[in-house]
Amino acid sequence: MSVLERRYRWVLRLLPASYRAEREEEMVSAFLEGARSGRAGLDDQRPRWMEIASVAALAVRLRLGGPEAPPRSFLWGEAVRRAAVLGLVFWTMIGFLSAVQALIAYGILADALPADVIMGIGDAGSPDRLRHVLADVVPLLWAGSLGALVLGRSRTAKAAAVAALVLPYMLVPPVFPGGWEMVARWACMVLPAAVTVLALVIGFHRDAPPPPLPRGQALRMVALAAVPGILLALVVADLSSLSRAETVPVTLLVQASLWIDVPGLACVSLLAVTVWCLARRRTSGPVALAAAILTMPAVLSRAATLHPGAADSITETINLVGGLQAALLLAGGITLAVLSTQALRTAANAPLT
Amino acid sequence: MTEPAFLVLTALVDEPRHGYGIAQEVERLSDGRLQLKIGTLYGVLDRLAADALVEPDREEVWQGRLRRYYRLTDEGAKALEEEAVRLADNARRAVERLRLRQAGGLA
Repeated sequence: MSVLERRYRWVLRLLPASYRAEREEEMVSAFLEGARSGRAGLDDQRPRWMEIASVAALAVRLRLGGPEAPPRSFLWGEAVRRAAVLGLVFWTMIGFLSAVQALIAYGILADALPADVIMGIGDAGSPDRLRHVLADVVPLLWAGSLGALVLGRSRTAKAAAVAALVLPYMLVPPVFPGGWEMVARWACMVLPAAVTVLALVIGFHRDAPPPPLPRGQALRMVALAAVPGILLALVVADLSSLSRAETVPVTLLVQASLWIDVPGLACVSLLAVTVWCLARRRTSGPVALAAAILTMPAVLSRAATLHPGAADSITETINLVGGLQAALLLAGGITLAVLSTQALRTAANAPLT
Repeated sequence: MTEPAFLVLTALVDEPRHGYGIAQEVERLSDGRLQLKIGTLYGVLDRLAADALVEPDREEVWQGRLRRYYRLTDEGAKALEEEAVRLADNARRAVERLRLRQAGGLA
């Protein structure tokens, strides 16, 4: 066996075993004939990236199957697609929270802040301020992505989600004064949104398009995610007022804010989904697996905000509440993993129709 | 119907072909524009087989390697013809409008 053949067979291991049993030999044969005739280059000792990408795309389509796929593949496909939908609902809420917060903080929405309180970055009307305002408003693209997805337009949904993920960091590039530790913390914070985008990109494909909802129903779904985001922005504004008034102990405010920052809200949302899955354990298989997929990034994003060993009372409070949330998420994650395993076992034993 | 699926069906009109034979024929039909990667080719073949537009024909061993041939089904031929007529109609309308535009420009 040539080096090229061995390497191509190794790439084919991306495909499900049942598919390889049926197709591997003819795929290897077709690939090597192409390589011999110069399609891959006579001197090539490894498959080209485009060949590997085509096998990877086929593997994703087979492993995350649509309604016609075998039960186990369909279950994984449904789980990834529901992870994408749950993620989009969550990030739509965060998008509205971020945008309304920015509109309040920069005094665009109303003169919500006293004149002596300087908020926002950059001078009023400056390009610097415009960049920061845009970076806070651009997450509304998550709502566009969710809306497009539930209307059955998966390409638009994917493009909007990628833009929602990337544009804020292009407008305001992150800085890492603390070196690699800061880079790692930033990566953990970005991970939940990145996982949502990845689930959206790989979960919805030609064999598994999103079922389009009627326009009114789609709008209601986006509104359902938007309203809590707007209300939360008002809660954050109230907490800021309380903080300025200095009538409530700072540690209490820190505790409250840790439940309404992004990792805190992810914790609350995922725990709610976990409870829902437990209540409907017989039918919750794909949702449980979806929530399990989303839990690990949520744990890492919360862990990224902790500073073990710090001595001041505020950091101790952050560590205590954050640690509690991480522990709750882990417990929820284990519960979801158990529910998912049961569902996967049932799918594996289901007869092929 | 996607362009790769259309060209794969077209490649099978005259005779059954194996995987690499289909990829070669598609490249020829598209004047070298479309070089199907093997993963993409089998993705297209899977979909066409699921829709009963192509089916396995026979297997051969060539230089010690398996070649599985695929053939166009009657349903596949019908689907290809319908798609070809649709594309030809679209092309005809486009040409008619372009001629009208040119005639208007010259007038």
